[in-house]
Amino acid sequence: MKQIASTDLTLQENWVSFTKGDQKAFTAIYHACFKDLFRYGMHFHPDKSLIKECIQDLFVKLWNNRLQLLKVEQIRYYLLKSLRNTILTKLSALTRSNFYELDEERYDFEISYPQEHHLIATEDQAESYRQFRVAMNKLTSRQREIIYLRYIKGLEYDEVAAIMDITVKAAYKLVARSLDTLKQNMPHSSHAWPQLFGLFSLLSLFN
Amino acid sequence: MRKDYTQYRVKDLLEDEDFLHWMKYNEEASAQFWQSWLVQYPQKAEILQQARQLYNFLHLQQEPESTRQDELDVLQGIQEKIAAPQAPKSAKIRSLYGTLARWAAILVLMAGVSFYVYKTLNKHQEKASWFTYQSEGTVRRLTLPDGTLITLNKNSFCRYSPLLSESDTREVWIEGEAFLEVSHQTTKEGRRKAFVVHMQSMDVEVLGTRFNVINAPARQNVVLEKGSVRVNQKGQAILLKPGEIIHIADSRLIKNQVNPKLYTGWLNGTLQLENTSLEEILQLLEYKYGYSIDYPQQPSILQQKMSGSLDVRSQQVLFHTLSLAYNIQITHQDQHIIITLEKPASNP
Repeated sequence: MKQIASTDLTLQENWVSFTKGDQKAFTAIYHACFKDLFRYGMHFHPDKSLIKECIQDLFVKLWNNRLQLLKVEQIRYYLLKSLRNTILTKLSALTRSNFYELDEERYDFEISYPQEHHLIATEDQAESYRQFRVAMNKLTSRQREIIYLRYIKGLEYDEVAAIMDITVKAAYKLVARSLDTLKQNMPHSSHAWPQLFGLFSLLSLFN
Repeated sequence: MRKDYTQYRVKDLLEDEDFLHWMKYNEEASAQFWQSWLVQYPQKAEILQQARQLYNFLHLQQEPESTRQDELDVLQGIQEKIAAPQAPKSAKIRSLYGTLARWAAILVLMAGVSFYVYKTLNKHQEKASWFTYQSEGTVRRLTLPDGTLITLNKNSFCRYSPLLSESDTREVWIEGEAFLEVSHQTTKEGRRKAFVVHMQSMDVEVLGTRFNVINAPARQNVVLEKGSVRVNQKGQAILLKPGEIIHIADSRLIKNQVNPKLYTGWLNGTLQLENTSLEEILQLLEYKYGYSIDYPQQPSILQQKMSGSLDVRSQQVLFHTLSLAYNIQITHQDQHIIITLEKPASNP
């Protein structure tokens, strides 16, 4: 089930051309990845112009270093990881703390959940959802980030690891720890759970 | 190694590839597996429910989206900074335009002369950045570079990027009404390539499939005939199953069951009715044409069923046929329809 390469053929081809100085291929890579990069970046800081600046810096740097980039694998994840570094470096410069980047836990990673949602119909669901939102806020940024990459973006462990610059083993551990914390902070009160046969009809509300 | 499901907790389900696959793709086979799993491990019903709920909660997040303008702004900034003396900018840009123009010409020929290329659709967009097709007074079929078939209803249009088949996410913008048969494309490592239809206030994310979209000023809906799509609106994501319609009311997504054949009848110009109730047809008029309907006082007539084919090419003809078939009177003023019985009911 393991995904090895993580880019499609065109992106790969464009990447090779780009490292040889093809500006058109470079632009194509930019267009293929901008939305993903923007979305991911915005979780680190709410200021859109700051994130746009970081994406710009990233691509300028890629262009200037293109001769060294031929060997890059998993291009998409390489770009996400590079953007992550660019943002964290910029934020540390903004807060003028020399130790900022040494302290992995000190960055912010926010996921925005609406207070109400039309899919949450019953009182029980509303209560569980309220607990869920509180529990998500109690996670550390790193835990929220890995939950985001693994569950919301649906990435494989090796992809998550590549982006967060940790080992695959560490990614498994971090996901497990995050789920534990999340579950602990969601004490399901003694709801009257539906009987077995009613269950699937109830669940289908959620699809 | 067989899994020991008896020891499973919520967390274990969330780490289970089979469980995640089911939640992600909602395929029939997975659903069957988990249904029989539940029969085998009835004591795990609560655990399964909690895991599903947690997974679903996680996906209620609101994702920050960029605009096309953001994308162009940043690109411009990059190009200004990297414009090196050995690569004159103007020459590069001219050759890029040349290539795009050639591509555009080929596609226009392929699509036929009756398609109309708009160049100035969105003022802020770069010239030649998009291919835009408008069906005039007739239904038009369009083949995208990736093999996807789009049937555009009259007075509808469709727009997509020249790089459609090259990017990981294929995107099209539809206004009016269209039926899509999305080609199955995989990335190099064998993953399904995403296909997204953008509408006024929602996006349809396609997971390989046939479906109908209506994106008109007063109504937006999606009817799924086959396969699976996910509809996204302001960070909410809802999965549609075949035979379901989703529409927006008060800026919320609402799902309902329909007969998809009724909603794709315009493809042939006729509607095939098989034991179709008047209620289903009136519902169709609401969703498809945006009518508001005054239902008849006598609910029993709504359950009357009819078989045969209906001509839907003209609404006048359609109304006339319906009134004869169901023995009702249809009066309409603009977008409002009043249904009354032709003759007063003799028995209450």
